[in-house]
Amino acid sequence: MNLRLTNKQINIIEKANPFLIVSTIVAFTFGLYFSLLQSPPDYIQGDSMRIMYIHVPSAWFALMAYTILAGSSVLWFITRNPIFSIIARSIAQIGMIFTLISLVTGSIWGKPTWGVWWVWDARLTSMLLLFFLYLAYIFLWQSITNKDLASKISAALAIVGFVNIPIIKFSVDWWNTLHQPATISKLSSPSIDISMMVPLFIMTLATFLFLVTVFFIRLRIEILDNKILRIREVE
Amino acid sequence: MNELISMGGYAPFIWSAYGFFFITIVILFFTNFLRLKKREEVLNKINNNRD
Amino acid sequence: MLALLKRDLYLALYSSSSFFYTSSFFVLVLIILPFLFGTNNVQLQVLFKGIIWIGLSLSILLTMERIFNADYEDGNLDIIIQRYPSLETIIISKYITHWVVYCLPLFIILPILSFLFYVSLDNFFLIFLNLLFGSFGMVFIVTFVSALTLGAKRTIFLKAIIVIPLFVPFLIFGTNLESWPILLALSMMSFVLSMYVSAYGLRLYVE
Repeated sequence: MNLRLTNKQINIIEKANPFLIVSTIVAFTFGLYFSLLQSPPDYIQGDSMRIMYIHVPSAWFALMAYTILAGSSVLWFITRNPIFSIIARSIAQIGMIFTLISLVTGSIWGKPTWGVWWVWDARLTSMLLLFFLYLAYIFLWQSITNKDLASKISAALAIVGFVNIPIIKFSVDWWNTLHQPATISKLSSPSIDISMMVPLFIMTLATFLFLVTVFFIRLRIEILDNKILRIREVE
Repeated sequence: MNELISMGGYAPFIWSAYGFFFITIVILFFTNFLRLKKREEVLNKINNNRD
Repeated sequence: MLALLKRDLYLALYSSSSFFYTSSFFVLVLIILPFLFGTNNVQLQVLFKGIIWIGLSLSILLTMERIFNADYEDGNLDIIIQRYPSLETIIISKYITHWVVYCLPLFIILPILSFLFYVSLDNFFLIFLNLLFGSFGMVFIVTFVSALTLGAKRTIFLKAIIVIPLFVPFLIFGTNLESWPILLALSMMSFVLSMYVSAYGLRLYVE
């Protein structure tokens, strides 16, 4: 398959790497300084709310990655440009890891806040199901040996999963109102203080830079795979 | 410094959460980075054989 | 269409399994209940509503390889597709076969089962209605996943990972007795989705 990428675009992806790595490290250094030292503890939750600065960005990017995955699958169906199939594949693993991070950090945050590691709350349950949607996508891709076919099939699965997300969200919300445990009240979310906004913003930026770094590396892996495949076909 | 480590009594939670986050993303970065290096090696070998 | 349906039904009922096997499966899944949770009447009634859905899901899920895989592997699927040019006919025939062989036995023995688990008559009708509308949707889902995964290796666990998140809305609404209209709506939605996706999958593999 022809990637339809110009050399200039490939060059940008390759040259951006050292710059991205350095800026990710710098952003994380600032982010850690602000989130662990510079920001005051919350007046209700104390220092435990510092977990928010890593939990919230990972949850955001877990959801954003699935949107990109489904969006590029739709674009692939419309344009049949293989670059969209590669984008979808590259983002899937990153999204799955961030879903896992947000589940684990959320659970660690839950212990001091709710007193238990896990609550069958609507948001947590939906995130858990999202993790399995990512897993199904990646497993399906791996288990089909004909990679051309695999990209067509997994694009269809990504879209089915995306259609299913609002249905899952709706049904889990409805289920949660039926079975809401009485002792645990939902986390109230008052407006976040400005002193918390700064570390949250920097950590979000740092996580985003990291995501782009890994995403570009995965794009390069796919581009090189493509090159190797074409050379072997010729020989 | 002690205050930073003890985290107002929440040390095990905060440090395990931050530790998990950073260990996971570092692993994610290096596995992909090593895979990229492997591809580059294979490509170099093919190019050398050609010349 | 009728000839195809007759062939599918004949093969499913006489070669691999029969009504007798499927209904025995449902009875056995439910017999586990009192062994696990004791013989308290009230508790059994509550658990019955849930376990019956597990039985139905397992029955549909474990047998999903039979929808397309057997025909695909021995090459019959190509012949069928050449003979019946509209893929929709083939897919609908597969829905009916799968539902008749792996879901219908449950509805036949459900009166006896609910008698064993002290379910009142009013509740029985609601459970029946829920299971009926839910089972349609679950068969639609399983069919399109099976069409998509025809060429995949290590299949049954892979398929379970794909299917169970899609089953979750059915299971959530299925255990609530008043929500059969929602189940009907979910089934209709999955019908539309399933028709498109199954046809897409079949076309890819047969080409």
